[in-house]
Amino acid sequence: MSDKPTLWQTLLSVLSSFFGVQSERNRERDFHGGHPVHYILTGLLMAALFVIAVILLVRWALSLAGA
Amino acid sequence: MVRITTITIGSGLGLALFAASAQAEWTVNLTPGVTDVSRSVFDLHMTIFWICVAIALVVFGVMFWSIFHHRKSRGAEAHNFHENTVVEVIWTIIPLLILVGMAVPATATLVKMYDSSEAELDVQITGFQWKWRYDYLDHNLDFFSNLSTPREQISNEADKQEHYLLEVDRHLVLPVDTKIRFLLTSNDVIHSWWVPALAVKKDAIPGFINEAWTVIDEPGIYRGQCAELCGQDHGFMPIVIEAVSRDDFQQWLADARADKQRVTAAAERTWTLDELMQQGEQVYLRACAACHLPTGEGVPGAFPALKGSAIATGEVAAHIDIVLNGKSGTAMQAFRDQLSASELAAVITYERNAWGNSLGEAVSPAQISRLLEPTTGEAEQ
Amino acid sequence: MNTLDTTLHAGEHGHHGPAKGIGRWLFTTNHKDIGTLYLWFSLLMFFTGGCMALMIRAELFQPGLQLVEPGFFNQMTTMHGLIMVFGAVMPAFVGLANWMVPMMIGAPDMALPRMNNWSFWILPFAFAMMISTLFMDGGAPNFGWTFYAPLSTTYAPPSVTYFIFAIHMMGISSIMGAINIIATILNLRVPGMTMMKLPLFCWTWLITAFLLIAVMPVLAGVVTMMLMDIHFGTSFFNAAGGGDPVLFQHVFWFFGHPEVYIMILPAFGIISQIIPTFARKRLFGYASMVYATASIAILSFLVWAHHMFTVGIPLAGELFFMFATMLIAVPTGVKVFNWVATMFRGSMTFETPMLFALAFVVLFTIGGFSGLMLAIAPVDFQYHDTYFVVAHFHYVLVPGAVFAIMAGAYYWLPKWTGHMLDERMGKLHFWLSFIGVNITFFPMHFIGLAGMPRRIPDYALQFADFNMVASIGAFIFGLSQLVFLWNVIACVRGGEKAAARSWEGAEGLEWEVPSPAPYHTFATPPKLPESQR
Repeated sequence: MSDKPTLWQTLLSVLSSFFGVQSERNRERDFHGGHPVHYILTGLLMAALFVIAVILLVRWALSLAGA
Repeated sequence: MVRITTITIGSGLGLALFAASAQAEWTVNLTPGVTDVSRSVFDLHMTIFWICVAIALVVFGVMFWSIFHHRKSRGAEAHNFHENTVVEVIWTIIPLLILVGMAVPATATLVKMYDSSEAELDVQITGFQWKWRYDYLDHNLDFFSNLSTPREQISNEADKQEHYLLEVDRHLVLPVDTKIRFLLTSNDVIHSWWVPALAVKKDAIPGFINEAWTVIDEPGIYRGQCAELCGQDHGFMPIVIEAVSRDDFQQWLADARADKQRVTAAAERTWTLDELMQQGEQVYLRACAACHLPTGEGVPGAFPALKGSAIATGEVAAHIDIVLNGKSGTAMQAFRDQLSASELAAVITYERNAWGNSLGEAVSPAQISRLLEPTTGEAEQ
Repeated sequence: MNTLDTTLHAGEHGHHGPAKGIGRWLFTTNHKDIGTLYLWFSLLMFFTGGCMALMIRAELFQPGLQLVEPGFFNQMTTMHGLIMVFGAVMPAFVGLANWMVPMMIGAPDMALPRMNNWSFWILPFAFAMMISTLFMDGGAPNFGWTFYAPLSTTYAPPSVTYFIFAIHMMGISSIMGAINIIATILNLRVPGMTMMKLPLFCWTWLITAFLLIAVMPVLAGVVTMMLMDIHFGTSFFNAAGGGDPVLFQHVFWFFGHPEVYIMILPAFGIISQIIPTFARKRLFGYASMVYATASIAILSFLVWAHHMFTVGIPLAGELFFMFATMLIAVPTGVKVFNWVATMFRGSMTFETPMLFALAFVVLFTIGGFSGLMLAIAPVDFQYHDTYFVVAHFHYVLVPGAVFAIMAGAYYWLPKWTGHMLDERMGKLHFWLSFIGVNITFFPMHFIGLAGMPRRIPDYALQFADFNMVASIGAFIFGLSQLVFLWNVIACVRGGEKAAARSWEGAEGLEWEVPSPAPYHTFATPPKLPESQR
């Protein structure tokens, strides 16, 4: 178990926090090796991506409905 | 103790279900309504309701099962587990899928509700404190629709009739099997025009125009109410739609236009002071008494008294001006488009001669007609 | 062993006991005193707002106008909402946080004690100012607690200006309270208590505090825009001057929706403390609970327009807010599942706090279901601004937030007063409240679906039966809160002595200090108990 979570692991952790489920092992890793600022920044970024994703979903739904 | 919990909740639910079957459907559930859209809304409502009931049965089932079996008084020992990623992922994914299942039909219905194109009839609906104005665009016909429930019923001095608070002096008459577009706006605050049977609820916003549409399938009377808090008489501005066949609608249009001409003509003849006072009292109670009170005493700090007031006992021109044009920045509306010339003359005469205001002079309908001309000219073309 | 430590310290610092007389309360910087002030204040406001609710329900007992004029009725609905939201629920949570957060994390006090005093003492003045509007010419604010423009600007009674300043003061108080809680939790944790060992009540409050700091300025902004429109000739919300009444709603609900979660997240925290205690089992999915709370908080900023589905936002907007709103059901569901899983295979007992917590889980979930139904935009056109909405938000706020506050009060009363509650009286209060709350609010679903708009003083005859039932329930619920008052006073005055660990299954630092908690606790940082290391 390495101490410093990689960028990819950070992303995955933030994703799982959006989802609301995280395994004990990853949580330990994040809280021991990680730096809060990295998670907060990733979180904000992912929130923005989430908004964009919902907007795209709406566009897609509208194009399907032909409106 | 716990047994009591289960029984109480069980019997509570039982009662609710019993109530649901014992009463007419209208009183405990949404109306399926009389349009294609309202029926899809109803179906959506019932689908989501049953999904929620199913989820509730599972979740509360497990909960009450645990409450019953896993309690200390039955010798239950606490098991030491506090995490299970697989289970947690499963119970997050399942609701997500259920939600997607709900979102699909909801989106389809919503798209349908937003397509107001190719309407055959346009009706402009304007909210006023506290009445609606309906304007049949392209048909040179517009009128106000006021609550017609007598005040005695509201103040419990008379028996309440079947359609208490859901009755108006003039119905919004609409043809069936016709795509009708509603253009909603407001003259003062935000109102919301809602008729459950059509599944139409749209806010009427001052300075902006909202769109909604409907195609009514069955002739009949459909009632609704203002749904957005709009001041003290928010609860007293109902909506009544009378859906009639297409032919009857044409006939009604013609009759209504003829009536309107008669009212305009009435302004030209001479009225006696008594006639004006009589009609004035009716108009006053309908249009003014909500704020200024039937006694003309107003509400200190909110609505000025008319009894003995400077305007109602002073210069007649100023009095006519405030009634016709309102006072901006206050709740006093411009009544020039809301009332006919004879009604305006009558109510001003009444205000100047009632509750001890005794000027003894009459304001003639003809006099008001002349003042109305410049702005009504366009509507009369 | 820890108990011993703190007792010794309390002894050493005996001369630092509370000051005498009224000065103790006016100038106190002690987190326990300020917590007590907050809690009594919110109870007072709860009864004030409750009396207004009873006035509303009395008028609605039968069709026709019997007791009050429509204008006064609107003042009652407005003041009831404002007082309950800003005066009862929010200060109660701040009071609980003041009492419990330092004790849960092993801190001697809040991080900013003087500011703490100030943030409480603003409140009585703010509410005195707001309630005084009832006696002014033109009456109190009558435009609903959501105060939509232009009803609250151009058409408002003159007292609206007092209302605006009262809101400003409440906002300042809330923001200072929030800053204090954040500073305390982030800086004063006992060594060894990492963030993921933080009790869940502290976690939910931490996230709530960030929400407060983010949205109270928005509320202050919107009332300031109103003030400008009313007195300084601007036209933010006036279409005639180029403004837009709908702008008001966007700004208001950008505050208003996170506000909803401000009123429920600390409740989640309280329930997550109580259920494990009485199930004698660790909280299931602690990490998920924290993550779900954070998700809810983030999503709460993206869903505000679901309160505005009928104002005529474009189709794409409706879909966006519908999808985002439906997603909130997921983290909320996770929380409920976790509570149920905590009970599963536990060893449960059913003391008063647990009964309130269980009722919370069931009834809050019912409120969640109606919330999900309301999220579906096309159906919301039928529900919007009806009693269905009234039923929904009362289910999440009364058996939701208020039951959680009561559960918390009963749970921690032994720690505060040193006396155990008379369980019979506690159960009496619970059952009366539980029955009352359901008789009051369950029928509102029916009358809402049947077509009764909210905020009307009089209604059509087909709504009469259920309105009568709801009014009877309201009086049962309202009067049964006198039992709560009785219980609290009885507990303060006497009763069975409470042990340091007042409940068998209770875990956490707050149960390591004696009951009642000495005036100063954890003057030196305690050691984390074995179970929490």
